[in-house]
Order: sequence, then structure tokens, then C-alpha cells
Amino acid sequence: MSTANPTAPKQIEITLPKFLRDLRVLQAISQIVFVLAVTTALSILIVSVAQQLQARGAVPNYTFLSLRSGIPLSEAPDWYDVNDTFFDTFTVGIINTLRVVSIGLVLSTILGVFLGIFLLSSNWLIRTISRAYVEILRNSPLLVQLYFWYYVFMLNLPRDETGIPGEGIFVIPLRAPLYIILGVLIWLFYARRTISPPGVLGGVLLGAVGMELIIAVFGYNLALMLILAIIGGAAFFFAERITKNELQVGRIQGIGLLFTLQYLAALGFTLLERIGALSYANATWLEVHPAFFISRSGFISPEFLSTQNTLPWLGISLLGLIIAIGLNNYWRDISERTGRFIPRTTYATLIFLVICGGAWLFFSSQPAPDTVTVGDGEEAVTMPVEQAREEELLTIHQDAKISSAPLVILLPQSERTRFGTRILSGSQISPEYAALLIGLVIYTSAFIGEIVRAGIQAVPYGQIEAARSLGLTMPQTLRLIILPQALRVIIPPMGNQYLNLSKNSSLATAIAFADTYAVGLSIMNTSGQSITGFSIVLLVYLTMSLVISAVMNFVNSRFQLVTR
Amino acid sequence: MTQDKSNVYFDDIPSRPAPVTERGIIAWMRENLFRTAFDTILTLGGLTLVIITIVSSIRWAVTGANWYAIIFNFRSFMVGRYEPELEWRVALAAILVMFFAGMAIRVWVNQIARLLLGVIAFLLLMVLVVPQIIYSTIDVPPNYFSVGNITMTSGQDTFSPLPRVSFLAKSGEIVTLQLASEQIKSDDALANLHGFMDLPTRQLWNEAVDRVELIAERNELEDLLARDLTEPIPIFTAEQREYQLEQLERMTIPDPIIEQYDLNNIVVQVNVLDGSTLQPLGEPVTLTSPEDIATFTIPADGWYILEKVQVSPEDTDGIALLTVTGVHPMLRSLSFTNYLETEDGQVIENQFVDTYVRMLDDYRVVRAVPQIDGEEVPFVVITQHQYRGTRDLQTYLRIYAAPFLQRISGGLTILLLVGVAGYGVAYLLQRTRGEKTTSQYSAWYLIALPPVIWILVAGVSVKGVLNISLVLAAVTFVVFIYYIGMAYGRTYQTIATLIIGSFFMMGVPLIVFDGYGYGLLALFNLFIWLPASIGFLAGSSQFGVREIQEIRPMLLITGGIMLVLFLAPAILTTSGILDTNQTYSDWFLRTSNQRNWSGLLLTMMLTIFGIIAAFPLGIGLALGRRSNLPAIKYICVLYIELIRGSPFITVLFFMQLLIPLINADFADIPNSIRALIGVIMFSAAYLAENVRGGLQAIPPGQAEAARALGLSGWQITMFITLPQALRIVIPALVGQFISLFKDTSLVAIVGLIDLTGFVNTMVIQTEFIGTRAEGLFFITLIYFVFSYLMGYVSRLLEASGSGSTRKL
Repeated sequence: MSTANPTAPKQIEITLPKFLRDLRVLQAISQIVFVLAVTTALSILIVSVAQQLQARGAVPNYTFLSLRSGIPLSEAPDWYDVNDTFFDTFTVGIINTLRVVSIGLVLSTILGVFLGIFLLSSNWLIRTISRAYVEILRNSPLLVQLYFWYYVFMLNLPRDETGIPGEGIFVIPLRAPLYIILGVLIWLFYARRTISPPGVLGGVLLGAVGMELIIAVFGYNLALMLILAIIGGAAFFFAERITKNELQVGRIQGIGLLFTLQYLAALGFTLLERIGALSYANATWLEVHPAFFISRSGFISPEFLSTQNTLPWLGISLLGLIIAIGLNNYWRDISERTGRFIPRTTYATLIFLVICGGAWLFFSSQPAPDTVTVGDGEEAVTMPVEQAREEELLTIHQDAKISSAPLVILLPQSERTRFGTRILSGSQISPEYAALLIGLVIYTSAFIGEIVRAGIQAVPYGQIEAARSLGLTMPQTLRLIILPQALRVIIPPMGNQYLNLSKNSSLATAIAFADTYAVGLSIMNTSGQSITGFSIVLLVYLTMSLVISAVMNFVNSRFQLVTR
Repeated sequence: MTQDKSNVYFDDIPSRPAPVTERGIIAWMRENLFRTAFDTILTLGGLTLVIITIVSSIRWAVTGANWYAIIFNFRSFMVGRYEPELEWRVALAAILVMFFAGMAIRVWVNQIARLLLGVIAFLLLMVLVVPQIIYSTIDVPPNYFSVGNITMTSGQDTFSPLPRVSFLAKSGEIVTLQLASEQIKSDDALANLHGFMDLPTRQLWNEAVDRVELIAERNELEDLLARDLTEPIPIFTAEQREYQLEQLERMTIPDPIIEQYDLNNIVVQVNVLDGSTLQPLGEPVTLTSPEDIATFTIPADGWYILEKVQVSPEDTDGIALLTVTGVHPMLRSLSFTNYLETEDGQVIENQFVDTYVRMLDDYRVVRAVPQIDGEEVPFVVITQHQYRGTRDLQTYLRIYAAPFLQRISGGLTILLLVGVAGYGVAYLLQRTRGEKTTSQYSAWYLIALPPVIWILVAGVSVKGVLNISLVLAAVTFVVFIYYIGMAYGRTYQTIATLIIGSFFMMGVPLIVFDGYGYGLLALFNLFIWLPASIGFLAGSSQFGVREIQEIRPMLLITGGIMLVLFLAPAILTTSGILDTNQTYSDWFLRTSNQRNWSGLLLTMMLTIFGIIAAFPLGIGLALGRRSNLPAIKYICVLYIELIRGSPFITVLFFMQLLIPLINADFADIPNSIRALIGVIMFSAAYLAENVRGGLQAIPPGQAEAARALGLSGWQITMFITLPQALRIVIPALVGQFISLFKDTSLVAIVGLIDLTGFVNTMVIQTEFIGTRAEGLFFITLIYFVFSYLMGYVSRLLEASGSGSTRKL
């Protein structure tokens, strides 16, 4: 084609010196030029910025970190004080960011996984609700959502928390955790039985709903509970006589199990109180006493106090965990070698629980300490417990700690004063922290839900059919077939969402939560060290991103398909 | 042999309907909602959740929310503090966008046209017909006014019924006044009062509500304390019981409010005066019993004064409640007027004036409040004449929904019709010019649209026109050098033309005219050598394909245009015809103050120009990251990872902080532009990663084949890999556009008043304190509609295969 035009002037070949036609030399030159251009631009930038700062009398330095900050922080650990240094202030900000990010990661993963499963549910309503949830949350800005959670949700809650149920207070009775524990136990024990696990699970759920209805109608009554427990126990043992349908048997057994355990749990709570694990508790009162408060000033939940026996007990529990894992692995080896089936997970869990529980019983049977140190610093006096109690020198926390039990659960209690209610015990979560956490978790869970859904859908349906034809149960299919394959697809985008969550936590500044960015901002304003302060803030976020992506890369490499 | 078939039944078995549990809705429900026990529980739980959510939000919207905040601030939500006299340009930009969106839908995503048509018809019906139906069928909720000589106190405020209030009314409306009798029968009736009420009435209502609630609370506590003693499990601890008993003692029930104030036991005289002449509309009417009704017909639009006084007994502190129709609450607001003739012949041009707005139907009047004896008669202001008491759906529709729909009807109708027109034009083009040509046209229009929008919204100064002229000269230079390469190939002369031309385009504007604004445009010319070289390479690679005679006219045309564009600014400025330092305030497209950009306008500008300006930077970074030259690669990696590792808010903050520090002159750069630069820097890094993904998805065979054909590295990138990569990443780019659209809300944290930022501004207006929920709901709706639509279109594009390189 190019020869079609004879009248065109002859194209002159450019003859450059030989070394300039060497590709390596050209590459080197272009790189040097590029680097020079970038460094020149940067150095011009840095020089002019430095000049401007110098003119304002704020020479960038890092020595300001050891000066007194004078910044009061609403959200700070006990040790922090206004007179601490800027470094301490930064530390508090970083701690707050880490608190939000670490808990946010866990919660949004859990919620997201459930959401992903709900998005694929065969139940039309659940599927539609989850779809609407995901679409609404994904298509509106996080900042707007945070404003909603803080200004519209948190700040419109009831003003005061009180000890009386039903006064606009959100009460979660302690039987709620029981339902969860029971669900997990059933999962563990019934997963491999011939009896239908969905039946038992459905029965437990039905039982829980029924129990709530009964309590709503008749109130919480120990006698009634005993009757229900006896009926439940009978139903559990005679279920197979009533009907031959496996599913029905499972359901009846589930309901019976729940009714029985409900009563046993009430007894258990009493027992816990007797052995000193629950202070200020009795079984019925636990049902009446709100374990969680939600009010305008945040969430209040039961407090876990450590005693002198906590560390030894934790040590023994850790030992138990190691033994359980070891045995689990040992049984797995045996199973793999001989092909003999051993329900190793169940056994290992049981062993672990037995060791933990045994250690607990051992420690709590020891006598409680009879002396206590009152006062702090140099005025501390050690005196007998009885005397201290009589003279009312002990705080609620100190009093609760005088116990031989390894862990003490202190339920939230408040006291009415003339100026409103005062919280005496219970760990408090500020409304800012709660709003930020709710906002971040719910926003991120929508994205994670979509990722999980896509991951599960990426597993060919033939895999599930094959698993079913091999006789695996649905939980086994999920655990052994679907999840390992889905995880390969899920993990990389999940890492991105974790990174997003960690970065989005900086929006805390919009709702006045003292995270790294907000604290950094006030440090920059107070100290005048804008560039250096900014660099520290940036460094914190970059490090966090780096750590998260490193961990996710590691996890990813563990789960990827090994190919040759 | 005959067979006896009499005992054989030959008829068909009568057909019976399928069992109800196997077909139809019940079967569907069995299949999809109640398959197992677990499923049933999930369904019931989900249903409860949905019902609670929907019912409580509807209840809040209908009975709790104050939507006047949205109706009244609608303009601020859309364009914020943008100069009102330039607003037509924003409207024009929106119309252009809608027109080309309509075209684009016809050309690229025709499959949703019918759905869209349905939506448009529905929206038009909603904004044009529904308000009229509501206006004609639903009555306005009643107004309550108080009359009397009483002085009331609430906290530190003291107030008494106003003898005169002024209000706006339209010709033909009827004002009726009547003593409220039903409402004062008992305290319960008073507590059930609902409607717009003035301060004393509200005080009465408050006291009645408090009393009724106190009685209920006391009864409940007494009941609780009685049950505490009888039930087996005590409700209170001893301490709590003591406290509650103490509380019970404190609850003293006051006398009934009706008796306390001796309501409606006075004789009241009412009249309505004309606002300008102060002449009464009729004889004063005396109201003594609930049967007396005073009726006044309004003769003309304008201000009126309602006069209401206690006539007998003369000196007592009496108070009476009046039910009034035809008087509606109002608001005073500053609004901009281009031209207005007041009654006394004054002409107001281009300035802010006090406007009085009747909230009910957005009836606006500029004339001042009537005065009596030199004092303004207080008007029925919404802050003091608020809606109190329960609100039902009808009231909601009448006082909030219809005015809102009417408020948006004008703009929405025009935009929707323009969109339909764009669709029609594209359809006609397809019929006459063919589909391919239409698609090319639409693409070019869409490419040309952003600069047009920017010029319309931001405006251009004289300096700006000169700058644009130089930039266009540079662009023409690229085309020119392309043709040069095509005509003469790679010769010393052409290369010299390239180098000298680039030098001129780079240096001369900077040296000769000192007028480059902030130098942002000059930046483009500084890098002109890059596109020019690419153009030259592209042109010279086609050397000899076309006859030189064919190319010559193009050379002459582009060269001529280039020279004119390049020289015109020089001649105009050096000869003194145009003074670059003069502002030219009557300039056709004079610049708007970018500090005033706010509301949806700012959000949109940040998003659209954030993405567009980040595009070249992002592609450059992506190519740099894939480069095999380590220095370039790692600098690009450093930039990308630094930005991606840090939160958006820090990038925005950095821009706010850093730009004034670079140069003292840069402190003048408005916040919005600083934020825009931050957005560009941020989205470039993410764009780069998307584009890199696309580049990695191109099979290496493509580049190898191109190399085998003798293409150079640049040519392979520009003509083989990059176009395919960009096609692949279209959905990802739309995704990024959506997320950027949402992320621009963060500029609210650095002090800009975008859509989100305006909500924070709105809630500190005295009239609308505590309306954050309404504001957040409204902006969430806007964000949701835009993001969801874009996501939907992106999914359609993905499904239609436009993004794939090869259609299978």
C-alpha cells in the first residue's frame, strides 16, 4: 500500500548516534528524565511548602510530640489525662480506631456471610428483603448513613436508662444467649446423627418462639417453667413412640430439649450465683433484670471482671484447648489411616469444655479472699472483707471481685440521682462509638453479602449434586464442598472490603468520635504542626492498610488452589 | 357377534379443578414461603420486620415529619448558593444532559425504553395531575387562633393573644371565624386538638396534653405499685419501691385546663382589613355563641389583617379559641429577583428582596407586611403558628405532598420531555442516517458535553476565553501534526515541525501573555508534546496511504484554524481591544463564584469532572505501572498505593491544607476547586487499578500479533491493547463513577455545602431545627435514584455484551 504512491517524497531514515539507538540506553535515559521530573516537582513543592511554613513560624518537626497536648477526649482509656503529651493523644486516637476496625471487621463478616446466604435463600421473602437491604445500603453514601445512625437513631433513643423493665428500655433477657448456645450445641451433636438435624433445629426454633409467647402471656414463673420442663423431657424421650416421621420426631425432640434446657439454664444461673460467678444474681431476677441497656448515652452491657483466679484458669483453659486440638488431630490421623469414623470434633469440644468447667469448679470451690485493699496510692489499707463491707468502703466492682470464681459477670446497675441516672456498673459504649460501629458494619455487610453470594454461586451446582449423591448432609456439603471452593473466590474481594472498612472508619470525625483522623485534626490545630501531624495520621492508615492486605494475602495464599 | 358395551362408560371423567394447594398462589406460598418449619419462622420473622419498618416509617412520614424543610429549601438542595441570575445556565446544562441521555438510551440501551416511558408517564401524572386532585378534594386542616386579654407564661417567655395578625390571601377565598366549642368540652378534647395553632393555643394544648399524660402516668404507677404487693415475684426492690412512692407523691394533678382558663366565656369581635388601604371588608362581627359564624370574602390577592379583640367583659383576663379557615401560615425568605415593580412604582432589579411565602401552595408575594400606626402587623409565621396534634394522611397529602409535587413539577416536566425529545431525535437520526452514524454522533456529542457543561456552569472570563483559544490551538496542532505525518512521513523537516511547534505551544503562551488563570490550562499546553508526538507517530505510520492532494486541504484548514486560534488572543490583547484584567460583569457567560457552588450541583460537578479529569491521569498511571522500566513503574506504584492506602477524607483534607501552602496566591483557590483536585487525585489511583485490570485481561497474543505486524510499542498500546482494555472495564468504570458519586459526600466534612453538607446547614435554620431526618431521607432518595439508575444501566451494558472484546 505504501508503495502505491510514487510521487511521495522519499522518507528519510533518522540516523541517530549508535548508542542513542540502543534500547537499553533509551530506557535508561527516559527513566532518568522521568525520575528527575518527578523529584524536581516534588522538591519544588517541598521547598515552597517549607518556606510558607517557615514564614508562619511553624517549622515542621516531630519534637512537639513530647509536649503537653491539653486536648480533652471524651472517648479515652482511664490512663489518659489532659496533661498528657501529644504522643499519648495520638495513641488514644489509634486505640479508638483499632477498637472500631477490629470489632467492625468481625461483625461485618458475620453479618455479611449471613446476608450472602439469605440472598440465595429459597424463601422468597427473605431473599427480597436481603436484596432491598443490599441495594439501599450500597446505593447511599456511608456518611449519610452515619449521620442517620448517630443523629436520627442514637440521639432519639430514650434519654435515661433505668432498672425497671418496660419503661421504654430495650431488654435482652439472659435466655436469649441460651438459644444461641443451644443452636450451636445441636449443630455439634446432631450434625451426623441419622435423626433429621433440620427437624431438631426447627423444633428448637419453634420451642423458642413458643417459650417467648408463653412468657409474654403468663410471665416468667418458675413453677410453670418446671412443668414445661417435665413435659419437654417426656416429649424428648417418647418422641419416637408418637410418630415414625423422622422430621416430626426431630421437631418434637427439639421442642422438648429447649423446654428442658430452659429450666436447667435457670438452675444453672442459680448455681453460678452460688459458686460466686454471678454477683447480685438469682435465676428469676436475671429474667427481670435488663442485661443490656440502650439509651441516648450509649449501650451498657454486662461487665466481665477478672479476679485473682482468672489467669490460672485461663492458663488451664488454654492447655485444654491445646490438648483438644492435639487429640482432634490425632483422631483425624487415625481416621485417615484406618478409615474408622470417630466423631472427633464432638469429642474434642467435650474434652475442652470438661477441662474448662473442671478448672472453674476447682477454683470456685477454693475459699474467697478474706482481706481486701481499700484506697489507692499511699493511703491503701488492707483490711478484712467483713469490716470493709460494714464500713461501706468498697465500690461495687471491688465487692464483686472478692470471689474465688475465675470470672465475675457484673450486670449493669444504675442509681437515680437528682440529675438523672448514674451508671454504677456495666461496661459502657458511647453513642458515637455505637453509631460508628453500627454504620460501618451495616454498610460493609451489604458489600460482603454480595461477595459471599457471588462466591457461593461460583461453585458449580454439579459439586453440590455430587456431594448429595455421595450421601453428605447439607451442613457437611456446606462445610466440606461449597465453602472451601467459594472461599477462593470470596477472599480477595473480601480483603478489599476490609481495607475499605478500615479507611472508612476515618468518617468518625463527622460524628465526633475521637479516632485517629479526628484526634490528628485537633492535634494539628492545637500544635500548629499541620504537615507533621498529617504525616503521622497518614502513616497510621497506611500501616493499617498494609497489615490488613498482608494478612489477607497470606490467607489467600493458604486457600488458593495449588497447581503445578 | 355383537359386543354389549352398555356397561362400559365411554364419557370422559368430569374434569375437576386442580387442588388448591398444588396450583396458584397457595402453592407458590407453600413453595417459596412455608416449605419447612425453619422457613416458616424465617418468613414470619421477616414479615414482622418488614411490617414494623414500613409502618413505622410511613407513620413518621405522615404524622411526624416536617416536610416544609424540604419544600422550602428545595432550591438550596439543588443549586445551593449558586448565583440566581446565572441559574438558567445550570438549567440549560441539565436540559442538555437530559437530551443526550435520551439519545444515548435510544442508541445504546434501547431495551429499557418502554420501562422508562412508563416511569416518565407515571412521574408526569404524579407532578401534574395528582396535586390538582388533592387541592380540589382535600380540605385544608383548621387553624386555631386565640383571642383575649390574658397574658400567659411558658418558661421565661410571656405572650398573649395578638389583637391583629396579617396574612396572605388570594381573590375569591373565604375566611370564616367561629368560636371553637367542640374542642373545649373537656381536657381530653383539648388534648386531641390538631391543626395549625398560634402560641397561646399551643400553650393551652400543651398544658392539656401534659395533664392527660400525667393522669395516665399516675394511674399506671399506682397500678404497678398495687401489683408489686400482690405478685409472687416483686417488681421493685425495696429501694426502688421507696423511690417510686416518692415519685407518686410528687405527681399532683392540676385543675382541668378548661376551668383554669375559663375558656370561651368572653364576647369576641372579629373583622378583616385590607392590607394596603386598612379599610375593613365589612362590619365587625360579634361572636358570642358557637353558632355565630363570621364570613369574609377576599376581593383581591394580597395582604389582609385579621382583627380579633375581646369586647366584654372588658378588663378581665379572658381567653377564647377560634376556629379559622382561609388563614394560612407563612414564611419570610430572601429571594433574588431580576425585575420587579412594586406598588409605589419602584423598580427592583437584580437584588435580594424579602419574599413572603404561603407554605400551603407556595404563593409568593414581595410586598412588605402591612403597617398600622407605623408598626408592622405581625404575620402568621410558621415558626409560631405550627401544626400540632395528630396528623392524618389527608392532612399530609394536602399540606406537604401536593405542594412538594407542585414545586418540582415545572423542572421535572421539562427535563422529562427533553429526554423524550432526545430519544425521538436519535430515532429520527437512525431512520435517516443509519444506526452507525447515529451512534458515532451520540458518542461525539457525549464527549463534547462535559466541556460545554463546565463552561455553562462555571462561565468563562475574558482571560478564560483567551486561554481556551490557546488550548484549542494546541488541540488543532495535534490534528495538524497528524496530517503532516500522514502527508510527509518521518523526515527531518516534519520532526523539526513537531519539536518547534510543540515548543511554541508550550512556551509562547506562558512567556508572551501572563494570563493563565491558575495555570491549570497552561498545564495542558505544557504537556502538548505528548499528544503531539503520539499524533505524529499515528499519522506517519499511515504515510503514503492517501494521496497528498487529498490531505493538503485538511492541512490548510487545520493549519489556518490553528494560526487564528493561536494569534487571535495575542492580537486582541496586545492591541488593547480586550483588557484581560477587566471583569466584564455583563459578559454573556460571566464566571460564577465557585465558592457558591453547593447542593446537588456541587456533588454532580465533583463527580463528573472528578472522573473525566482523572481519566488521562489514571490511564497514564496504569500504563506506567505495567511498564517494564523500574523507575517509572515504582513511582506509579508508590502513587497508586499511597492514595489507595489512605482514606479519601485525608486526601481531601490534604488538598485543603496543602494548596495554600504551595504558593501564597493559591490561597485564593476556592474550596470547591481544591476538593475537585483532591477528587481527581483520588479517583485517578482507583481508575488506574481498573484500567490495569483491563490491560491484564487482554490476551498476550494480541500484543504479540501486533508486534509481528511490525507495530511499535506505542502503537501497540494506543491501537491494540488500550482500546480493548477500556472496553472491558466499562462496567468497572461505571461502578467507580457510582462510588465516587457517593464518596463526594465527604466534602461535607471539609466544610463544603454539597448535598450532604446542606442538611447540616438546614438543621441550624431557626424554622427547621431538628429536621435532620427529613433532610437525610430526601438526599438519600436522590443519591439512591442516581446510583441505582447508573448501576442498572451498567448491568444492562454488561449484559448486552458492549464491554466484551469479542462477541461470541
